[in-house]
Amino acid sequence: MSADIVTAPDMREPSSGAGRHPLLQVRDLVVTFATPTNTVNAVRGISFDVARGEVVGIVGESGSGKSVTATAIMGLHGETARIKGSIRLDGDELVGASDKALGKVRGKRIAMIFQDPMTSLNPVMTVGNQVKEAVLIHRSMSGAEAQAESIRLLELVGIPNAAERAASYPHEFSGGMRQRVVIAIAMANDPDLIIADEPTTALDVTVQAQVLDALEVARKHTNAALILVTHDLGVVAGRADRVMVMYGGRAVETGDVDDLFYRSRMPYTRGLLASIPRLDNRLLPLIPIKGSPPSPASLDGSHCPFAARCEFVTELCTSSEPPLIDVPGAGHRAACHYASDYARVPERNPDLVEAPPRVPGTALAPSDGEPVLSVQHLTKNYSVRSKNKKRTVHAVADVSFDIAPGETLGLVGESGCGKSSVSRSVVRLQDMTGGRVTLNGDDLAAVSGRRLRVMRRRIQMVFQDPYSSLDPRMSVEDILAEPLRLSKYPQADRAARIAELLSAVGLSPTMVTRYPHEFSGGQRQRLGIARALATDPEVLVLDEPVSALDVSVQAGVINLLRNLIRDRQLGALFIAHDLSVVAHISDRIAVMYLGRIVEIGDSEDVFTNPVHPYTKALISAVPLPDPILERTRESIQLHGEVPSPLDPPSGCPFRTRCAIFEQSLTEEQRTRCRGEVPALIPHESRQAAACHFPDLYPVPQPAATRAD
Amino acid sequence: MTVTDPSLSLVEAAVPVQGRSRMPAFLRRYLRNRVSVAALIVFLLILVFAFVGPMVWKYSFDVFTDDNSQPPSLDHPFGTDSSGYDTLAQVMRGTQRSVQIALFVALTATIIGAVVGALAGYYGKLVDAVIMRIVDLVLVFPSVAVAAVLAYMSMGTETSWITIAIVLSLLAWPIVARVVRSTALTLAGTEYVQAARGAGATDLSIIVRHLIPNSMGTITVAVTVLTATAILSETSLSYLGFGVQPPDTSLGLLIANAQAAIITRPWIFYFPGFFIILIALTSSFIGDGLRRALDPRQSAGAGS
Repeated sequence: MSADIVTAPDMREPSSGAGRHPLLQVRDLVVTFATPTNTVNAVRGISFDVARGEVVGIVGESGSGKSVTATAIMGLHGETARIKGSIRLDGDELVGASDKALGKVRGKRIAMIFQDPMTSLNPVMTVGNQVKEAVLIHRSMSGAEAQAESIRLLELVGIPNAAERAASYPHEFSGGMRQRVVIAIAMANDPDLIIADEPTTALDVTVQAQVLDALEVARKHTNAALILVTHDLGVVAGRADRVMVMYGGRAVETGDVDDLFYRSRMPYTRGLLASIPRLDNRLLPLIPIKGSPPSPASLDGSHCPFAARCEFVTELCTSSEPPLIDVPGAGHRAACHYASDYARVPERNPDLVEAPPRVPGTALAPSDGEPVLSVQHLTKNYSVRSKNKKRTVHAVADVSFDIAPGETLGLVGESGCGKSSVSRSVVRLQDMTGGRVTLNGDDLAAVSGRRLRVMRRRIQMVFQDPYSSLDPRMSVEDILAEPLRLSKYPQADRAARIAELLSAVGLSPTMVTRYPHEFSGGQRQRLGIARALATDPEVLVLDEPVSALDVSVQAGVINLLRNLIRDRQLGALFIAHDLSVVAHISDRIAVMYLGRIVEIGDSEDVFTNPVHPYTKALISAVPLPDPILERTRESIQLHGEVPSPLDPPSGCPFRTRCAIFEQSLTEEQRTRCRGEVPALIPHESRQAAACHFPDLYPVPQPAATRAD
Repeated sequence: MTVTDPSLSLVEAAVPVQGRSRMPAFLRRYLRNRVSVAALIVFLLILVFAFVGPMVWKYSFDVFTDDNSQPPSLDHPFGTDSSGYDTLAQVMRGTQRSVQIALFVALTATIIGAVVGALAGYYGKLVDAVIMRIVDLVLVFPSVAVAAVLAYMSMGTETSWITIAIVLSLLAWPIVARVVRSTALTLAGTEYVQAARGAGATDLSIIVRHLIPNSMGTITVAVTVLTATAILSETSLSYLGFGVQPPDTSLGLLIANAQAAIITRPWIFYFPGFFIILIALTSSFIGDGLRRALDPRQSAGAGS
């Protein structure tokens, strides 16, 4: 490790903490993992301070070392990890402290919130008892007092009927509710520091907003500092005071949130900001960063970790690793040889963009031509056993849409809304309960056996997880040859066709002998796309094709898909939970809620003028990677969570969370919402929403978090 | 590193390309594992010993010699038993029979078990329920008792070793079916199987091209375990008198015959025992090597 790695604090001490040492002081932290073959430097010398009451965001992609840093502070790194450097909490050294000493710190002075609320609670203990246990570990009070305290904590984080629900078990809670319980446990002992490691990554976007607010309540209530570890720049933009961007085990840029977002000096940070899909810049092209994040094993301090992907790379970058150095602006530091020489790092060149900017209105309307894919009144029911009774889940209820050649329809919704059931029914990976799916006029639902297998070639699917969608035992050649063989593609032409497919998705044809594990996530997803294109389909169904990818490689895949769909005039059904991604690729958008389409229309119309109250809330809940916009815009908070599809509300499925229903309607009008499922009513000529009273949307309240 | 042309920049530099066909890569991966290579060599030597040995050795397993109860000597390297049989000749013949039975059982039981297990795991629901009840039924049979009865019924015929092998196979396949089923159940849900279905693959093609290759790890482990257990089952049966019948012999029968002589003539016990252990151990190491070699992820050094 080179000696020039930061020895001075690389983050400005906030003025509020002047005269006292910071709450948390991390110096030259190095975490290495020893594997049988080599040692991996997960964190390679980082230093930062956290002041009391401050929110510090740590942003990075997989393998950047952000989570390792968080667990090292807690002393929760595994046996195989070796830690060097210093971590001081209020002056007390934590590195090398005994387990007993750390036990007094954990939970009491530092609390941690993990990503997955499904596994961070004990499934056989009531949530009330788990909070109570946390209270009793560090405080001496009677059982009854602890009970009352735990209910008070559950109320604080926004659990309705806390006294009653404390007796529930974790499986009776939804993901968002569980994460609130985890937050309640974290604040049980008035910690000085809360570390939240990707606290909302596993949650839906409307729930994410609620949980981040609960976290804010917990922080204000305990006056704790917060370290927010995330890959999502949007989450830190609105919540953090300062941000540390990590890459390849190092802090590559640190500074105030505004400095970092508006005056970034590190090509990686700037590349990331230009490459992430943003809801507010949806018509601008995404500028991808080439390549993929480095593997921690490849980093030895001899070169800038970003050099291989940086478009401004010079001799200096490949021969020495830049230290974090000051750039003009208090506390702003960047690890780039050219950080202080701003002219050396020009704005990113728009000529590098693969895809031309989107022009709204050029999309073929389904009425302009024959649709390539037409879905009419699709329904899909599952029978399940619940409490020993056979019951029916209406996963998809009466969904209809058309897709024209060259057009992308984005199908968005939160988990459980039925969007994946739609995609699987459309490609006939499962049988539909009712409805028709026609592919250029041929009924896909009616065929079976051999005729179905032949017809399948015309509609292909790209899957979400590039790590399970490719057979690990097959070479690239075998993977791409399989659909060709099945479609009786002439044997002699297969090699040429495989090479052509690989080039089409931006991979080298020389890679045919390689196996999936030799590729990065983004490259694997390209292979999945190549496989889907092999049979020359008329329709592509894309089920969350970029949600498993690192943010810096998403843009490349999105641009590739857009070009392929346009050039080959494919009809595309793009399923995603991430509105920002959908906004960048879709010509039209359909929003699903509890198995029904609640709004459908041209992408621009839906984003600029959403009609349905759910669409409005969904758009408002998406965090923007822009601190000023995040601070100033009004957010619409949805209460509660999506009801269970086993037990949907009568009438309008959305009425239990609807602002119109809650605030604007008379009792007589509400009766209609309760009794009658709203049909999709055309609003503008090309936009329709399923709402009885779309015009009665209440005047937005001034932005206020619920718990204040 | 040079400045990369942005138009080509989406793809990282290709790592050195490995061999084109799968067989050399498979062999190379196997050969990298020294223990497995050593085990394979030892196993091949055992085969030579068992199948070629009897042709060149001066004594035959079923011919009395003039020497009774001789300890190992130059003339009789493994000694002789009380009837005057040369132990080396007997161990060669016994090893031959035991290896034949073990390999037969390992192969047939694995093939039956893998196919049945893959069917159950892939189709699920009713097919799975029916198959797994049959599996449960076979598994609760007291195998030695059943084998004894079945083997007894066919005793005395010329090809009795093959009868024993068939009986043992019929009792052993459910063990393989169970493990392959659970693997297939997981694999059937993976996206690459969905993708193959979406491309128009038939069920048979999916089972043959995706399920079985991806179950090879499980299956090779099963073959290994079965080889070892088949040797031991044959030994138990022969020991009880229901296995291979004299004048033919097997390692189990040799041990059964030696039980009374363990104090006085230990050599006639130790040599067949040594070969049983050797066969079980080498098959286990070979299986381990095969499992690794069949997995392309084991190549390229750096496991990700």
